Amino acid sequence: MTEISKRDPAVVIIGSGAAGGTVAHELVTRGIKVVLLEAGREIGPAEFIQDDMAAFGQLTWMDKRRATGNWLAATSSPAMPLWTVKAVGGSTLHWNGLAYRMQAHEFEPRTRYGQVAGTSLADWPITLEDLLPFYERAEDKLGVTGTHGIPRHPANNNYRVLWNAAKRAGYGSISNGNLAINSEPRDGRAGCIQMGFCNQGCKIGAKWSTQASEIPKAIATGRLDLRTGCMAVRIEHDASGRASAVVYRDGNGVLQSQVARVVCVAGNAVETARVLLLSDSGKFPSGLGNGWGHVGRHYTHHVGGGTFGVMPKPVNMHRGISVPGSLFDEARHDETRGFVGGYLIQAMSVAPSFLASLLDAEDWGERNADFMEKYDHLAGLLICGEDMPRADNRVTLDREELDALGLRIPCIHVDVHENDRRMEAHGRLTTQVLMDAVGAVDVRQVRTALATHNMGTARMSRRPEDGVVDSFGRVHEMPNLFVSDGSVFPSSSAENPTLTIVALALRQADSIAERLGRGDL
Amino acid sequence: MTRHSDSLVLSRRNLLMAGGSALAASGIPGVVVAAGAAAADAGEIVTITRVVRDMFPHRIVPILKFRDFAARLVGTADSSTAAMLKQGCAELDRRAGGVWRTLDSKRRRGILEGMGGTPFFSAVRTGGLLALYTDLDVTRLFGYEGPSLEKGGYLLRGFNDLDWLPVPT
Repeated sequence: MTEISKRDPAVVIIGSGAAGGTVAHELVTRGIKVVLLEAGREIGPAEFIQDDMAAFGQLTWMDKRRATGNWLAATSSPAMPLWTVKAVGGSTLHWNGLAYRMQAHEFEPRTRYGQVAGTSLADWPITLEDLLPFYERAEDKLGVTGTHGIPRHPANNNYRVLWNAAKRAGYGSISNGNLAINSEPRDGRAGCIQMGFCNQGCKIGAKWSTQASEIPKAIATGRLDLRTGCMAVRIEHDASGRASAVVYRDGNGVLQSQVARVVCVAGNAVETARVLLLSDSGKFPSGLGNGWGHVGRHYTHHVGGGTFGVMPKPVNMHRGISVPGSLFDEARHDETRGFVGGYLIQAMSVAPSFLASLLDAEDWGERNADFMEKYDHLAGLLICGEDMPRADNRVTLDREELDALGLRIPCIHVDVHENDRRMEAHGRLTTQVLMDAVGAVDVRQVRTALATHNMGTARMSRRPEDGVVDSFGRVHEMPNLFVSDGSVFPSSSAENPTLTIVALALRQADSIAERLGRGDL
Repeated sequence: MTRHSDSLVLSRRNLLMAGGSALAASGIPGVVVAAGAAAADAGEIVTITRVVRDMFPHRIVPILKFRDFAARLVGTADSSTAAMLKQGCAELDRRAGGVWRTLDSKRRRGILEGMGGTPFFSAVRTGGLLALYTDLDVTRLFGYEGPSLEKGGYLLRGFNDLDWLPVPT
């Protein structure tokens, strides 16, 4: 691989997931040299493990955090409230490949939902129309089924249960499309063979990840210097307030510094906010991009919850794609339901160890054991809904605890909004109805504690005083510092965030390349 | 302190043959210690086996699976965990006013529920859950099938074999 000198002012990208991997690939293909810092190591398909718990241990970001507030994670998993990946490819290794566009109204939640007390709802500074060409490109790059003439997957058993339940219940908008999982070989990656381990790293590369796609392509250009095991801890700036270098801890625990002409932060919402806050200086005493106090605030992570039903006959939900399709009818904004925003309902399978852990949070003994023994008769559903941004739902640097380098660990505070509770209750009722519609003989509902979709800690805004970055992800207060990941979302929308993250990353990369081309950065 | 009654010797031998050998084969450290453990440990292993069976009452899972776990828990415990486990077992008997594991299932459950939230209860519950439900020998009994790459996934092996509902259109 290409080595770039630490004194050579490069574009430095922090994080190799959906955002960082995409921006890196876009820039190197335009002839720009990139240093990509990844805190995790390279874990390839041969190393992926088809065992849920072992894979969880292998891939998950385990660095200590602290959760506070009244969300479930604060009591059930306070030291590890998020479920994200620490490896080359970031959370694209474990995502389920659901590649949905946001809906038009979700770009203007403040306007469409009105003033919702106790929230910091804000409109996005861009519209769906602005993002459409980038969604198109993202879908092509990811190979999303149901777009660009790419066939949808055949329905697996768990999807067939959802489809029939939805039809019987009277719903109309159900789809097994828009998955970034190859239904046939494409772009040098294999077609899916329905292994059932989407979440553990796809061993045949049928599921898109930056580890399987953008990063190897970027390395092949000879312009990418990927440094693994390298954790960025500070972004430095010069007297004029331009980002000038990134300080990171290398694989041997030694601090290094890379001179930078542009810095892109893509560490997932919590670490992105943390590194901005850790980079406080005389000029920026409350951290970079934080002149208006928005860094770390407005953290969102989706309303969730799972429902499992014992069907009259076998389902074998573990056979095939883990989240094979979705129901969209409840994703609309319709205040007659008693809440603003909407939610998706997704067919979902989990392995016995995860199912047992979810059930265990509610009860123990005979009832759980009987349910587990019906594993092959189970169908699963998951809800994923828009949760309300709140100024005080935020990432801060913990006051007490330090990591191995002596840096303050991140603290994530969330108090659940009443709107989220109402939506969750509606979702539980709906998924119960769906299970009943196909004759479930026993239904168990579980709460999901670990946040996998993390957004909002460096939100974009038209006016500098309302956020951290502009619509291209450029920090309002620093001309060459960008935030590339889901941190820039002003609101979560109901949809899984990855496709939007990639679309925004493509848009940002175009903008960076153009500015560099005209000597503007 | 060690008294070699017949039953304890039997327990030790069973551990060596059934639990011990399987665990030793798994390469988990401390298993040899467990197999050759003091007789007092054998009593604890029997009690914890009953605890984990009550927590996860699967009649179709061989009892030895539960005992493998109990032996591993006791055998790999550091000194403070060992003391906690010993104290937990003693507490069950104290609350039972006799030998807890000889009570009927309803009374055992009542006493166990009262122990909820204790480090003993949490250690057995969390450890037992992970040990049982990550064990393919166990989960296959429920219809789970485990890793699928070597068998070519489920594309030709039933990913869409559900036949009691119409095919989506």
